[in-house]
Amino acid sequence: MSVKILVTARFDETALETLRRYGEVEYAGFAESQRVLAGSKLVRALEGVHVLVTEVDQVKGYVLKKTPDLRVIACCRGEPVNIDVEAATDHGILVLNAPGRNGDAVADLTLLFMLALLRHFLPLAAMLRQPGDGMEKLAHAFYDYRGNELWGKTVGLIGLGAVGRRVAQRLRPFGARVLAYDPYVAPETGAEVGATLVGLDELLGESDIVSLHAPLNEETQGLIGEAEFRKMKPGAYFVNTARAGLTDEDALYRALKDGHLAGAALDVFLEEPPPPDHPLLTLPNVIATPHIGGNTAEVVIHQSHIVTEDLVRLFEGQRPHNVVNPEALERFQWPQKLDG
Amino acid sequence: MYESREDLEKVLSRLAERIQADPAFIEASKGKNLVVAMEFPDLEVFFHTRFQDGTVAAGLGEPEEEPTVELVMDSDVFDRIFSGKLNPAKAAMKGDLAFSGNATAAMKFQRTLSDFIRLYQQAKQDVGI
Repeated sequence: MSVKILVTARFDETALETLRRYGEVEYAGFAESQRVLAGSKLVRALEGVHVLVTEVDQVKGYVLKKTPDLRVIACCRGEPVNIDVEAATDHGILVLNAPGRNGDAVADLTLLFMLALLRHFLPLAAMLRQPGDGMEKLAHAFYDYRGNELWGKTVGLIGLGAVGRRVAQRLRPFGARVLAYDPYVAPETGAEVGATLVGLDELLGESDIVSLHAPLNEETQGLIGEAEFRKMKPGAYFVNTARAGLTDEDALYRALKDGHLAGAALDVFLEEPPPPDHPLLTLPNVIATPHIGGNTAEVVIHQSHIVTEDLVRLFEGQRPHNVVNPEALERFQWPQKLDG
Repeated sequence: MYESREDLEKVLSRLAERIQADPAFIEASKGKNLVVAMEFPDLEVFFHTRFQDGTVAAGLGEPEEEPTVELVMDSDVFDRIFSGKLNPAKAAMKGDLAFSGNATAAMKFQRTLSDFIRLYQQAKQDVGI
């Protein structure tokens, strides 16, 4: 008898092939089936399953009570928000995650935002489609929308985790100076990606662009409010591809409306999707997208390989890298009937 | 919110009666053919509503056919959504509501939300909860 693996996450074929070397794999990707498993359907789907590779299924405590064969949940997300980790730990089920799966995607979008703000990309891209005299438009574009380069700019990154580090690496060839604020990162780590670690006030006061890359938790909730926006340089830009809860949206609106900040690019809002009359969407100096940071085809490849690498380690008796509940690892074992 | 499975079933049974007789629901069902299933795993209760071109059938239990749209949520989440206190999109984003099925059909169902809320409140009053 071999390990039975149910994969409901979006998953890369080569990673599935790797898993098939270690067990019997059933692939039922939620994107194809348009089915999110929860409640009794999830319980039925997990009958005899030892490893669940999931992305969106609702793995609650009452499900785990009824899935005695389950040993591992590999969650293809940075934060396993769809898993009741405490209940999993109580049942001795190991939970793995996929930190950094969308690091490249979000870092790419962040750079896109920075360049779009500096080059007034949105109004200029719309200009030629608008009615009016072509020469006037040309003059308007040339004189009123002269852009700036990233070269020589100071970019302040708040948070130097998986995304922040990738943003710093991408900024290097542009010739930008990169500052970073992250109380949990050593200066050497910053230096590795070309970022200088500084205090928050120094970062806010010196940066031409401030970009958020911190996780949202009790410590960071509302980190950038009225006082912090006012500490930013007049005419600076603000980018948020992380979480809206890190900021005070009303304070950001005021700082943009009165011209203290030159512009902002936002992929996240407190209410998603924001209604069309959301105050920030009424401002011409705001670029807004509907939380698309991690929405690339390549994220599926990244998440597949991150969790597959850890599952292979587990199958081969090694310690996985990304364990959400290490206390479960201490007493982890495959069912005895699988051994040998 | 619900202290027992029986309390929830009482309200849902009454809700089913009201849905089937409600002119707004009957009107909304015209030209539609969709089945909405709900599961409340904390109390192990199922409920379904079938819209079939001018007729509406609702009741406890799982539908016989594969539902077009399936919603799974705890009973307190259900109560907050159908009391107008919790936005279903927010509940889904937080992982408190699992949605499966045809997204276009779900949008059609969402248009009945205000009527659903109205009838749910009436059903609660009817059974004194």
